[in-house]
Amino acid sequence: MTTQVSEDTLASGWIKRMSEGEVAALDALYRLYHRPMLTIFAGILRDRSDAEEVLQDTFIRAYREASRFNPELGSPFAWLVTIGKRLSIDRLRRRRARPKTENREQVESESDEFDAHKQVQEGVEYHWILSKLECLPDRQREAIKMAFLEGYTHHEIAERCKRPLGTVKSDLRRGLGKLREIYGEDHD
Amino acid sequence: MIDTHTEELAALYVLDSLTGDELQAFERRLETEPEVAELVRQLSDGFHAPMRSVGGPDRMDLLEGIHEQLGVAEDKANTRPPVRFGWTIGWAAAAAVLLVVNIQQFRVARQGTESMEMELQAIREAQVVLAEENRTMRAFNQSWETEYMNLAERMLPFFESRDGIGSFTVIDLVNVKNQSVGSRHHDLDDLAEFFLSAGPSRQSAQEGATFASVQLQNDLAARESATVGFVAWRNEEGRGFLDVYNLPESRLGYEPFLWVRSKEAASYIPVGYLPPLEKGSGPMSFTVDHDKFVPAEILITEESEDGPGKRPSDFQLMVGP
Repeated sequence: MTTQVSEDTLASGWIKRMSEGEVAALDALYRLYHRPMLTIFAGILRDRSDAEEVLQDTFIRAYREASRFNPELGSPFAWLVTIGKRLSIDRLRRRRARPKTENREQVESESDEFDAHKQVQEGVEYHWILSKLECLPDRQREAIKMAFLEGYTHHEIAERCKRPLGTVKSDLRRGLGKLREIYGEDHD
Repeated sequence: MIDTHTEELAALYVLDSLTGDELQAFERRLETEPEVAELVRQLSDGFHAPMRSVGGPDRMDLLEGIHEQLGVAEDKANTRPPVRFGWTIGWAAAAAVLLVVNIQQFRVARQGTESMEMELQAIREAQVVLAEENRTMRAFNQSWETEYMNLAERMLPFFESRDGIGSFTVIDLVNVKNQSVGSRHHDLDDLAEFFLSAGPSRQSAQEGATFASVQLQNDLAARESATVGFVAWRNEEGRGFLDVYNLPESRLGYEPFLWVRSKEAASYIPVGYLPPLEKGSGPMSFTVDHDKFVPAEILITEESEDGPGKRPSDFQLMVGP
C-alpha cells in the first residue's frame, strides 16, 4: 500500500504543539528544516558562525511566537525562513553600519589563508541560493536577490540600481509570479 | 479579480519588504480579503519551494543551545495537552448523515402506521447514540494523532528533509509464529497507513470508528510485548525505515538479518544485519542497490555472524506483509 502525507500539515501540527509548550514538536521541526535554513542564513550573512546563531535564535523565536503562525499565509518553512531572514538582515545592517575602527590590514594579513578558505566556503551558500533563481530574467533575479539575500527595501533597490521604483516593484512581482508558476504546483 | 498593484504589494510582503503604514494596511487586507491571502500563500510557496531543496550540514548539536536558552528542563516535564483534530468534524458530519439516513429509513418503513411520538422517540435515541459516538471519536482522534506524531518524529530523522515528506510504501511485520496460526496483529503500519490515507474514508463513519478504536488499542498493546514492526519505504528517496519491537534474542553466533523483495523479483535481496537493539527494539535505516526498487515483501531471519547465505535461512523471525 502507498500512502501520502502532507509535510506542511505535519509541520503546522508541530507549530501548534509548540504554541502549547511542547518541546518535542520544536525538536521535530528543527530536525526537518534546520539544514536548508542554515544554508539560507549562511547565504545571506556569508558567515557560518553568525548563521548558526541566527538559526538558533530563529527557532527560539518561533517557539515563543508559535501562536502567531498563520498557515493561510504560507507554509511553516516559509514562516521560519522569514523569521530567520529578518534576524539575518538585522545583523547585516548592523555590520554595514559598524565603524571600521580596527586596523583591518593587520587583521587580514594575520588570517589571510583562513579567510580565503572561509570566503570560498561561505560564497558557496550564497551562489547555491542564487542558482535557485536562475530561471528568472536578469533584472528580476537581481531585484529578488537584493531584497531577499541582501535585505534592501524596494526603495533602496531602486536607488542603488538607478531604476524607477515602479520598475523595481514590477520586477519583484513578475519574478515571484514566475517562481509561483514554476514551483508552486509541485507543493500544493 | 486582483489588480497589479495588489500583486506588487503581495510580492513585497512575501519578500518582507513592506514597512510602516503600507505594511499595516496590507495586513488588514489579508484579514478581510481571502483572495489576497491566497495570493500571498501561493507566491510564498512558489518562492520558498526551491529553498527547501537546498541541502546543508546536519547540525543537530545546535539544538542543545536552543534548549538551554529556552530553559527546556522545565518545559520537557510538560505533558502534552489534548489536541483537537480536524477529523472529528468530518466524522461528526458523517455520523450526522447516517443519522438522517436512519431516520429516513425509519420513516419509510413505518409510514402511515406509527405515531409522531414514536418518530420523535427514535430521533431522541439516535441523538443519544450519536453523542456517544462523537465522544468516542474525539477521544480516539486525540490518541491517534499523538501516536502518529510520535511515529513521524521517529521516522523523519532517517529521511532527507529537503524533498519534503512525500509518499511512502508501508509494510507491516509480524512474528512468523503468529502469522502461521492466523492470529495476525494489527501493527504500527496500520496506524501509519490508516492515518496517512486520510483516516476512516474507506469505511462508513461508524465502522471506521469501531475498527480504528480496536486497532489502536491493539497497536499500543502489541508494541508493549509482542514481536511487531513495520517498514516505511520512501519512494522518492529510495530509502527505508525499519522499526521493530521485542525481537527475540538470536541464538549464539547468529544475528537478525533483513531481506527485501520487490513485486517483480523472484528472490529476496540481502540488505544487512540489524544494528544492536535495545531489548529487541529499535529503528534502522536502509537502502537497496536497485533502480526504482519498491519493497513488496520484508523478511527478517537469523543468519550466521560469518555472513548470510545467498538465500534467507529457515530461521525466520519476522515477515511482512
